[in-house]
Amino acid sequence: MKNNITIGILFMSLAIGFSSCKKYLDQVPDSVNFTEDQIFTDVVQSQKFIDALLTRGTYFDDNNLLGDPLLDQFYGKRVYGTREKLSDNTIPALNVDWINGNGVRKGTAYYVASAAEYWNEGDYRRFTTFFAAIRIANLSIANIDRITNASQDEKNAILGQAYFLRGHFYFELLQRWGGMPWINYPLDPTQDMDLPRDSYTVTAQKIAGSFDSAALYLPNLISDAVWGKPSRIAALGYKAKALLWAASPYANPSGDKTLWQDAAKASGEAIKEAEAAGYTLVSLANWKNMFVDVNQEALKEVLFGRMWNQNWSFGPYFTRPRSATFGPNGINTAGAESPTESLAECFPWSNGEPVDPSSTEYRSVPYTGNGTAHTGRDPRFALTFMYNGHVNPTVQRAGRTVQIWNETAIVPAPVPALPNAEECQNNVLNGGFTVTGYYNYKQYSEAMALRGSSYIMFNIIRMADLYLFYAEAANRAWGPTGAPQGIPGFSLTAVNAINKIRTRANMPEFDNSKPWLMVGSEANFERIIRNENRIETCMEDKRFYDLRRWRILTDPATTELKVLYIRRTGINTFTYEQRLLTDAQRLKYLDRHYLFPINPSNTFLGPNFKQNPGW
Amino acid sequence: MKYNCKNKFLLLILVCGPLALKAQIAKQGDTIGQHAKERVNVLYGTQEYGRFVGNMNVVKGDELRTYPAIMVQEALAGRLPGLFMLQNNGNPGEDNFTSYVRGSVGGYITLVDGIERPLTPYDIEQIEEVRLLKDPVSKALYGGRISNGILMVTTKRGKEIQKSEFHISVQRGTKRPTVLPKYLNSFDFGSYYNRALTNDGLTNGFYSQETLDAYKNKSNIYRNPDVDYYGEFLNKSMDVTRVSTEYYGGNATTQFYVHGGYQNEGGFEKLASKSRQVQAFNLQGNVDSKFSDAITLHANFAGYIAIKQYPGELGGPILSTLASRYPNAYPILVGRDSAGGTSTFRDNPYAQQVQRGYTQENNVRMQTDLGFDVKLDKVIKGLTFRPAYSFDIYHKQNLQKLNTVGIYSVATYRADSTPATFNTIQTPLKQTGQSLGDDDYGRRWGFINTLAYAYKGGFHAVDADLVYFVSKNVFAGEFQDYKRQNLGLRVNYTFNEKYTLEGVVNYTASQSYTPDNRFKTYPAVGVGWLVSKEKFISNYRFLDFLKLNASWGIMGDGNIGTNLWRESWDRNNGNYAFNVSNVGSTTQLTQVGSNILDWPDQREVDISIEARMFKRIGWKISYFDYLQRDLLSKQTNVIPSIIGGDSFLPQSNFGRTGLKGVEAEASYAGNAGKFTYSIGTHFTYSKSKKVLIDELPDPNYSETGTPWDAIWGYTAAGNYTQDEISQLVAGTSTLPLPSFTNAKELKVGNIKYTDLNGDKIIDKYDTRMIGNNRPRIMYAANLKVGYMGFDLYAMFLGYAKYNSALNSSLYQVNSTRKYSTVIVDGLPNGNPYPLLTTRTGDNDFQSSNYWIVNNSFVKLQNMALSYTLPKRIASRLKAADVKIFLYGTDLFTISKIDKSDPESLNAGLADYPLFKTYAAGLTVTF
Repeated sequence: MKNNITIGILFMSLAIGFSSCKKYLDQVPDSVNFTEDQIFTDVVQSQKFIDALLTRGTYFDDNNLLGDPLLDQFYGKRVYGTREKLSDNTIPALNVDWINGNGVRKGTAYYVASAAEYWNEGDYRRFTTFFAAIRIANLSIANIDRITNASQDEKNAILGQAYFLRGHFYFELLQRWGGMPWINYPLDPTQDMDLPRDSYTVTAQKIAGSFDSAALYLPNLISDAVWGKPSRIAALGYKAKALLWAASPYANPSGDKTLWQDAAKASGEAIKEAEAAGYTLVSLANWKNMFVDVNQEALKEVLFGRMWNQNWSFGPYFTRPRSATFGPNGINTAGAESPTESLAECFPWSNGEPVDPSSTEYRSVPYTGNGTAHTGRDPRFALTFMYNGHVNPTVQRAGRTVQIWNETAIVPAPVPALPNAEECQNNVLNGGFTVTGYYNYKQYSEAMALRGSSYIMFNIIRMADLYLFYAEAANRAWGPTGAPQGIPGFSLTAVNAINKIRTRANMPEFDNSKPWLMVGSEANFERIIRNENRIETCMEDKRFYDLRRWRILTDPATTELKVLYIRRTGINTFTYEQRLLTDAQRLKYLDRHYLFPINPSNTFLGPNFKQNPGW
Repeated sequence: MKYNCKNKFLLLILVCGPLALKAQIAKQGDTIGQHAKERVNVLYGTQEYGRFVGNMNVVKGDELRTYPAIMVQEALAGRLPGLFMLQNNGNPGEDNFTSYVRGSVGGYITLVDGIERPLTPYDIEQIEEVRLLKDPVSKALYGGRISNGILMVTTKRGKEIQKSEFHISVQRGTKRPTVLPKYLNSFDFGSYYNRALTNDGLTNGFYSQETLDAYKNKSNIYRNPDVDYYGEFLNKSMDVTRVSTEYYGGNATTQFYVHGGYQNEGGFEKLASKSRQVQAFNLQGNVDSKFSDAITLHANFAGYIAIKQYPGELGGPILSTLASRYPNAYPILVGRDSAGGTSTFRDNPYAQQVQRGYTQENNVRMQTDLGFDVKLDKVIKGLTFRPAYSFDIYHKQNLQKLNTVGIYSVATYRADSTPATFNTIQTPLKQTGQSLGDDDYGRRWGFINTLAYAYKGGFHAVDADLVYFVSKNVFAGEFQDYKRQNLGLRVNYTFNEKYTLEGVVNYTASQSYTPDNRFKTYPAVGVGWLVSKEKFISNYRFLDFLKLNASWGIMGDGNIGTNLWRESWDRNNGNYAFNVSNVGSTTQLTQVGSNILDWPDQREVDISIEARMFKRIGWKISYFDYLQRDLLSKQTNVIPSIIGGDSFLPQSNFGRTGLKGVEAEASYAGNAGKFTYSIGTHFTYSKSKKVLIDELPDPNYSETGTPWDAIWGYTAAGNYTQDEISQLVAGTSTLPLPSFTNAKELKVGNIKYTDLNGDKIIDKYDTRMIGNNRPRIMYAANLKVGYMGFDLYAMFLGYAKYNSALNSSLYQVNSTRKYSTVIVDGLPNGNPYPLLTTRTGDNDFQSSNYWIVNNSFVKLQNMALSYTLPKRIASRLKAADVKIFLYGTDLFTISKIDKSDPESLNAGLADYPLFKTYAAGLTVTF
């Protein structure tokens, strides 16, 4: 008996204990995620792997829509603001300043509660994110032949998308941090990674090369069902953009003509192919729909962009006026990025004549003209700005017009009730009110004002961009009216390209019929192109990078910023004064601001990977 | 394992520190010369103390009983040298301690009856002893884990006595907050707020004199409320109750133990119908029975049911509301049972306590153990086989019934300023049924197979244990169970009762590594020299015991996270919107396979010398040195971004951390006539070091070589004057520019900082170590005096070389934080409160030594006064033993900090404050 128990206990112990010593620690099969093999041998998983780069979550600029406002402000947050506020197009608040060269602090801007820095030394996150995206693209390319169940078309779709996105993310790196080592394979973590940086131009040209490869594989057009994926036309357009950046003054200080010719040729070819594929400039009636309240018609102009549906409560705060009526139904939010008077003055009268800020006419009726000499501004003006007296569907519904003013001179008190007053810019300390006299209307959604949702679009390349690229490059390459060379079947000149944009905006063409419609010299026409560019693409997050590539970020003419100061002199009468911001009220740029600083963890590691100048 | 139940009553003084020594002397006045022969519990067995080569301390359950808490952890504070135990808050029934062994780097493992189990579900009355194993040899058999110590908890078992005993203990106590945060009333708040606005240069938002007067006169509580939140919504005290019944006994063949306990704590909220409370029921029963000379059975069952209730949500937001609402934010009640509020503040504590509803959390835990001792003398003399099985389950479930409360503001007032009409800010919505919140379960089984061999003959004595351990933990919602597996051999050889050599080899396995790197072998070696046995020393008659121990070992970490070696790819759902209707999934790499990852390990050295003298004095001094090596890191700071960032980096073995220190203990026991007395004291000092960390190779800034508990910050140097600010703004100043704020935003009176490196900019490079946020020193002293039937026990516990940054909302009143009395009285470190601001105060609230306070403190942690009735009176009551007692905890504190409890500067702000307890009770043994 005793022995039986003993033996029983022993047996039981051994059975439990030593039965499967090794296998005991193996993983439960059900708990395993995909393996690398399951991803790269399967066409569906491979496609989804590269598709991840197109999602909103991590890699694209519309990152963190609802996320932490303190992070990523500068590197791409759209909801809380854009890089426009670092250009001369908008300012978020007065008295912004750099902090000892490391960051820029915003003063009293309303849209974040605490004083966040735009240029935060600690936040280099996107630098790494872009390289992560490049790695994913490289992985897709390197593993393409492992797929066992794909047709050639399916492989091409993956390859084309990977080459395209590699180009895109390198371009994002380029315009922020400058030239980078070209990495076209998945780096091994054990290898030496202290790689020398290519020059700005060389990187741009390699990016163009990546788009060339993408164009070989991508379908010419993308169906509406998968809108947002890259197409061959988009690749051609992006290639033109990269080559224009390579030719631009920042990268090409000696003015090497061949770089301009390359850029002109690439953009000419892109226009030719895009027009043949059906892309066009949409009518002015649909122009605003390319940015908010996006409709099907607007897609005809956009070659590549990001679009998503946004609920009013999470809408782009930076476009919201601080007004119960303008905001979505009583929500009193911030108009944190106010368009400057400097930008407004770029918009000519509707006959094309530039405004004269010193004239009595402009000072008394700056928005519409006095009806004798002029009867209004460039039609895009009313689509871009919300100004004092602006009429738009939201305020019309409320039976009102917009009123914006800084001080009221009506005496004696009490001030009479203002039945149609909408907005009082009476206290700039009270954050959220415009500090310039204007609000952003171009990205103001009527649907969101009704507490609805709207499709919001960020254009990365649209047809207007292509014409502007082409005009800029062709003007330098062949002169304002010089015929294009090396593009069979294509005869657009720089002037023609600009006129296409003017025509769409119902503006007179540059036909030398009036003094202000003179084309003039190459240099004069470049000034015209840049002005047209600013009018057409303001608020689209493009101006800051244009200022950099034109090397005019530190130019005194650029850094001069004006705001409109409005006095209310009667119930519905106002006077206007253009005020120049003092040095204390605005950012001052130094040479090093042409590129962002790179996280020291990259530059401390070896002699080759160098920090950007001045940082 | 601790199946040898006779051992536990043998061990008395030993290393085991002053407590044991005092108990021994006080009770028996006996000699301590024989203790080298006593058997003490070690991991998976017992050992003669004279042959023990490591370093351990023990506290008996009887000592812990004087602590009237329902958490065993709380009672452990100060009892064991090296066990740091700081309580974070006084939330009832929560394991809320910052606790570590010997130093804040590296954790410790808690074993209850040989298996890793949480200590929370145990009643202090159930504890037989708590033993802390600190040296590498003692810990080595618990392979595959790095720890600074193993807290080996043993629950009670039956004992061989003539007559079974029934033991009942009842105690009830009251807990009062040690310190509650204090805030300004509406009048003072308004006045200081005006001052803050003036400081900020703001021109509106001021409280008028009229309003301030109204606050002062309380002329209209609706228009001008003045709410003392802590006073109105908290009781002065709450209760704690402990009831325990035990029945135990046994003969030579069978011993049994039965315990039933009930504990209750809570009731701090004043108005709540279901105030926060925990009720715990414990039931334990075990039996040790000899089937035959060769086979003994050990069976044990322990069950635990705890019911925690909260007014409102789990955890309850009530304290944080009290700590953050301005006294004039809103009137608490605007009408009968109608809570006031504003659209911003809908967290009226009246509504939270009375109307919100409740959450109830039910916890169930069960522990079952079954073991055998099988003597295999017939096979090999001295051989014993001890298989032991354990099986635990736990279940936790939350039930909620949460109403939406009505919040109202006054719209119009009557002539007498009472509310006439209201605006509804939040419409009430009553919940009709309970809803199920968390529903969590887990189970664990463990199997410990020990083959023990003991030999003694002539000059030689050998003990050997071969232990095979295997366990599995199953968690709700986890496919992959946590499994452990270990094979260890411990051999202890003693020559001539004087020289001992012990070695442990552990062959351990972990599922965290690649299959070919799963099994690892780690060694530990220790030597002991019982000097007092030597002839040359036996002349020194006063020397009762002198022992030198030294041990060295390496432990490997198999607990780094499951399957880190495996590359993993996953779907990312619903984040993919190309167009209107196109939502799909994408694929992404979720974990890079770290297949070259090796085991991090910890190399340890422990040296101790221990003595007993004059039969009254005992002391021990220990030195320890830990070095953690090959720690895990992705090296994100030293690998360039061009690889793609940390999501593409595998874990690698990179990083080293050191920890060194000393411990000392001393005790003295004596008697004078009918007085018996003893004092004991212990002291621990340790300091950690970042030996190798993932750090930017910045030539001007490095944290390598500094301790882990360092607080970094600027050095404050006076305040700005207007001239200095003007010069800074104009750029003509010789002062350094702060990098964290714009000079234009500086105000007169803001804190200036020192430019340590002289580069005219105050930035990261001007920070230095301005303190350490963990105590480097712990010390404790206990005193026990007995006279006739009276016993007095007092234990002091102190922490020193300890700093804190005063950065809680109580001390840093910026932005919209509630105004505490700190702004009037200044900081506890003697600094005046800096310039009041209604903004974030970017300059003054930087981490700097302005906010650093010496957080050292000493507490009278525990005090007990008891009277045991003389036997003759007790027997008249038909009892064997009757004791009445008064217990107290946390009775007073000596510290520079008086606005918070120095043990936790955050207690009382979002969680319960710490409490002092006064309890009284009665113990009867029949």
